[in-house]
Amino acid sequence: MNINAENVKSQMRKGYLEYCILLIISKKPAYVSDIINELKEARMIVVEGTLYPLLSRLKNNGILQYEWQESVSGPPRKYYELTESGQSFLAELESGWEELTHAIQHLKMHNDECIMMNK
Amino acid sequence: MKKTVTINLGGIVFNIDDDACDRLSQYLSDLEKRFPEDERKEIIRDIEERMAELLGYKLQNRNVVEINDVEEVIEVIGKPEQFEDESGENQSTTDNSANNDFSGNSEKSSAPKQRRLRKLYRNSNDRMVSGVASGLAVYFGIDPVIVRILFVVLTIISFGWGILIYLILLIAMPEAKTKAQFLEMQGIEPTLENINNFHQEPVERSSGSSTLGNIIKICLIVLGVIIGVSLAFGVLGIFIAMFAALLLHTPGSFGNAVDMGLLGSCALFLLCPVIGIAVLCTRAASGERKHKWVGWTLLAVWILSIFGIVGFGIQEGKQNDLDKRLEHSGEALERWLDEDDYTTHDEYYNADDLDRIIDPVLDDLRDEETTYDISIRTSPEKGVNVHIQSNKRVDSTLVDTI
Repeated sequence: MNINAENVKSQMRKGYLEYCILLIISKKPAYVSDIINELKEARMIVVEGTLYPLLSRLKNNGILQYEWQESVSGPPRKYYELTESGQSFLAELESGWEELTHAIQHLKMHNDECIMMNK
Repeated sequence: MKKTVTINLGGIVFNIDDDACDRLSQYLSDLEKRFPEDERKEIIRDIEERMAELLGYKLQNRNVVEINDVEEVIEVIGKPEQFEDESGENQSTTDNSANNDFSGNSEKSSAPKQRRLRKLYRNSNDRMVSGVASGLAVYFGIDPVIVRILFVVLTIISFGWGILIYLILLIAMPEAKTKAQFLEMQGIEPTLENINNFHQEPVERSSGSSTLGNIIKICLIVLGVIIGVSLAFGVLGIFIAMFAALLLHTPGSFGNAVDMGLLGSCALFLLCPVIGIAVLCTRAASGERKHKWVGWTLLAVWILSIFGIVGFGIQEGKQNDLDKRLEHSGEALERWLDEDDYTTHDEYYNADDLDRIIDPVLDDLRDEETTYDISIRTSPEKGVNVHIQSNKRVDSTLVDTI
């Protein structure tokens, strides 16, 4: 496996893509374009196609459900929302993220201390 | 001037250039192949809806979708290989020893696929002779070369028993043929997704090793034929000997159910392996494995025959014992008839065998002037009742109970 920054960064993004999607949906029911726009803004995805299999998988695992809603322009749209098990799933991811950031922060602080001491 | 067609994309009607339409349908069918079958329809539907939306933004006041529009939209949605890289859709299981690459993305180290118990199959994709060693290797997660060397060493140090073990394994282990079986062999859930992502290439063997395989194969066939023929003769010999012994042992009584049962069991016990080896030879020769059930049936019959031998053997032993006792009671009966007094016997015997006691008695009696009337009645509850009447004595009864 080649280790380069781009690769690792994309791995990181990939790992937290589901979390991001759930975060977006947890605020309010969203349809695909909403989710895509937000993710693009946050620079989490490069191409949109990534999202569809993920949504479908989350839905099939009972984390998401959707409703059809009429739209002003064009055909009805699928609005995704979290199911109950989706809520707890999100909570778990949340704590996972907390732990991760905490761990990183801890390591960074430790590094800083070392640098200070060396000085 | 360009020809246009009308399409329905995600529920919206578009007029689209012919070439743009081709591009679009090509793209969609490319995408379709990337998704697992059960989700495919829905995902494609979602993507079509999104594309329709994007095209709608692009067109504004134009009427016709052109190839540039399609290209741009494809750029946004992404090429299939692009978003596979991003989503971690394909999780690869690294199983280098078996030379399998499931997804073509062995660089990924995402979560492993659902694991389950491996199943033992012959791995025909990586084989020297029939894939037994390689199948075992996959099962235990070691290099097939180690298993092969073990087999050879075992065969040498055990004076050929290794070959027998190999033959038994060859019968017992089914060959992995379908993709699902190859996945099961490696302990991967054979879901549609996994099957779709599974590409297996047979291990190319150089001509040298395949001739080695052929030589081993021919040796096996020859060995099989030799073992088979010699065993067949041996079995025939034993069979004749048993037949003769049985006839000599109990003349006239041949046809007894227990004797026949015992003989039959012995025959099956000896014949099954011979048939098995014959089947193996034909299989090795033709390289096909058509009737899987044959091996299992043979094994089942063989095990049954062992039970048969034990069961009938015990019966036979009991019968021999019974014969002796009947002989004894026959003599007693004779004695009883010679003497004039009445004695009861506490010997037990079954109805069929009474003939055998009575016959010699009758032979003796025939010469004498007195006439005897002997009747035998049987009832399941009371047992056997022998009634003998002579013109000298009015009545005398011998009652035996079983």
